[in-house]
Amino acid sequence: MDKTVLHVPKMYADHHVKAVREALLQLDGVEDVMASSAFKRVTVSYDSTRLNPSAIEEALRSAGYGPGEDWELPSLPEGKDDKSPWFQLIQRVTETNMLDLQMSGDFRKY
Amino acid sequence: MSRYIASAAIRGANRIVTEAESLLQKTIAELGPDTPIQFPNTAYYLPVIYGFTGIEVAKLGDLVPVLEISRSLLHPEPDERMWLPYLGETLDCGVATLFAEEAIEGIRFARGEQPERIPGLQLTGTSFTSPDAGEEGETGGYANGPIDDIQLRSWGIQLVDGRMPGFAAIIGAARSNEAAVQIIRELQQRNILIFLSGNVNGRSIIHQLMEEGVEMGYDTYIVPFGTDTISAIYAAGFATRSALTFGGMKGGQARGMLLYNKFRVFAFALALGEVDDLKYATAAGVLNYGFPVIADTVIPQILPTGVTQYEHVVSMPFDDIEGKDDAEKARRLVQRCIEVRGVKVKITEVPIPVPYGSAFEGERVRRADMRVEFGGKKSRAFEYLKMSPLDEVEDGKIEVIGPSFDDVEVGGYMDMGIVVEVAGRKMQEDFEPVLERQIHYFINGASGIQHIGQRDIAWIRISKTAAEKGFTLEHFGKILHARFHADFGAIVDKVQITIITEPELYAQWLEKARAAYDFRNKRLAEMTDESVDTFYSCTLCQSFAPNHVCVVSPERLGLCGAYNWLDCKASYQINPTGPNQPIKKGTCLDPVKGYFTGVNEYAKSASHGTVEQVAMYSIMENPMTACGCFECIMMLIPEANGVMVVSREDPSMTPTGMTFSTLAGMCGGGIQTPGVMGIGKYYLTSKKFISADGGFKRVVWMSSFLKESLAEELKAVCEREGDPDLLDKIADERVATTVEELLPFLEEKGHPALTMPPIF
Repeated sequence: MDKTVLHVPKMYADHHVKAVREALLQLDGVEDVMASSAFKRVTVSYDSTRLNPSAIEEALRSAGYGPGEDWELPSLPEGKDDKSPWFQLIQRVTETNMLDLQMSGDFRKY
Repeated sequence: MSRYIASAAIRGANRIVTEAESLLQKTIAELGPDTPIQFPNTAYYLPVIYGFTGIEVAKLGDLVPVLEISRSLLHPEPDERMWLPYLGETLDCGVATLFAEEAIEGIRFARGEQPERIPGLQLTGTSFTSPDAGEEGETGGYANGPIDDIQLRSWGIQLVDGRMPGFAAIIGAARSNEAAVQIIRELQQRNILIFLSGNVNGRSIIHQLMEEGVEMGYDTYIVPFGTDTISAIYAAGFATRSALTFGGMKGGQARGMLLYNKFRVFAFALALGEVDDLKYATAAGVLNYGFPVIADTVIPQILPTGVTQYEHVVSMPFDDIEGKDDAEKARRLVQRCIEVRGVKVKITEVPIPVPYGSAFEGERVRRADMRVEFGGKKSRAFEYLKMSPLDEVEDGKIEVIGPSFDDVEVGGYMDMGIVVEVAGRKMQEDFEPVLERQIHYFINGASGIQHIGQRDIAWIRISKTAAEKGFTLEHFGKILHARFHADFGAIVDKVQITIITEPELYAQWLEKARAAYDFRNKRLAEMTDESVDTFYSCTLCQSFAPNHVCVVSPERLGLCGAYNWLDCKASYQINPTGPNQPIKKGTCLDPVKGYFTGVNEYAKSASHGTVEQVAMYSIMENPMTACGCFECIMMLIPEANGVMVVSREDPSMTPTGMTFSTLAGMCGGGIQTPGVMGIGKYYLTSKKFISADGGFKRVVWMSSFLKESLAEELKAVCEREGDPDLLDKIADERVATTVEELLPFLEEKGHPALTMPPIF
């Protein structure tokens, strides 16, 4: 039994874990898959007499989870100003509401 | 604020929004922007998006501006060396995550990929008449998906009266099946609603519970949403709709909706197993609601209070919890969750060998799993509660007279009678039926025991598992003794229970019980609004709908159907400062419409000035307000000169052009809307049913569910109204779902409403 560990940055959540496992477990020769979305890492145990490790990477690539590939994210503004939709949608209250303060649990400090 | 959590949450949010955008683009290209999307049976569109922004997403194209808002809420990850308070950015990203997740689920619905397929999963429904119903050929194999408005409303009363203290959103998989079951049982025993989602390495707590044979579905308070974190959005949707449904809020009132949840909805998230970027991002989203997050792995914590009432994020690594086994560790984990959220839990210790709690009320015991049954087709069971003098009742005495079920073959049956004798200085004969009705709930609370019906049509089953654990007939007595003292201790000082299986004695007591049932029926029929000088208020729902007040009279029960005048009277005796206060009728200003000075004064003060006057018997003038827990909605159909009544079990279209869910949005939240009213279904049978507007003859359309479930009672009403065939003249969803279909039907049948004076 051989083992390979692959870094899959696109696998940042558990719905990706399901997709990755599904892609790998259908390969002939794969015995077990440990996919961790927290570490973005897949550990595959497989029978090297039946499966070439490159086929594992290929299966991941065709499922959209190529090892080392990350999401292409649009760039974001560095800071926010008061024109952001958050401020347009919700009327923010900047003064402290005493009732909120009393109910917030601060009393537990004492 | 933890930089690690902020970074992970912001990272996750950026990715999920990007993913949602690309999925939307792809789906619009495939299906077109006008493809409808909706969650089933809800009037709140995609509820989280609607609650925060007021945007009514009804088709794929509507999601484009939503995701634009979502993107604009995103922030860059915190800089390595620049230390800033990241809370605001993290919370914004959390909201962006929730929008993206809900958009993805909406798109999945449009693509036919929701609810998620989980082979082998069978969910328990909500209503059934026989525990054997659906045993053969039952469909299944799907997760629940989002909770519909009907279920939300039917849980409403339990959420407000504290029977259901809150909900737990569990994401991931437990360390072991043993731990999974124990976590669920601990929550169930506290009657906490449980939502399941997420997975760890492809394995979800849903799979673990399926393997252990734990029943899931609305009836057992365990709702499996799906096996990924995205499906946890349905929990946020449930919370959002609580504020919209019961809090009287409108879409877009984000701040109010979030504060409502912080102070009124006791919920928390429990992350089992590793926590990835999306789980952090989702956690950041639910923190906005004031819901804390507890993880059973090592993660950074956010302990100061603020957005949540107590700690925000708590780590309780499962391996570090003290306990001899996984079950004990799970118990402590749940205990910690409850502390962190400050969930108010009321537990009654019931000395029986099986778990006990309201969450077991809906459990079915199927014939194959049954050890023995009492009642049903082949045997008979009755229950009778009577008041006795104090010196004749020995508190705690439980006597079983006759054979036990040991000699009955497995799956067999026998006759049984449960006689409860209570005594107390404040006890009144009028309270007997109120207390007797509780036997159903009390007995059902035991795991593996099923109770259906009441009086002499009770039907009780004991499962093989419960019998193997040592459950005997005596334990029925133990349950009743403990619960009557716990729940009705203010009026009941002594409780004595006799379980009768001995045939001769059984027959004697059955005769006595029937005479008592008959006497009570007559007494209830004689009780009218004119025969009493006091009505009762019910402000139980004010914890959810702050301006709503129910006025309960002998001839008009509460709109939730759970409280009638006698219940309120008993409740007042039990808790004199509670939600059921006496209202002196005062001077009758208008006997037809039902205006009383006392009622008006009370309604004005209890509704905080929102309601000036209440007409007890009219839908057209100052009708009573509604919270959101109503069993039925009545609405005027001007074209037919009458009203229609739709029950919450009926998801079909009504002649008003709206479904129950849409109508509910118009009459809930403590608003007085002439022509629309929420009612309890038994109000239909009252002589005072909109008597100012013409009474029952005004009903031109009614859900078939009501016609069938109240068949006998409505038949009697029709006879009383002098038109025995009236029920057949009333349309239902099978014959008319538009006014155009309704009118010819009414004309053909000669419905009396068409010839009555104009309703307004």
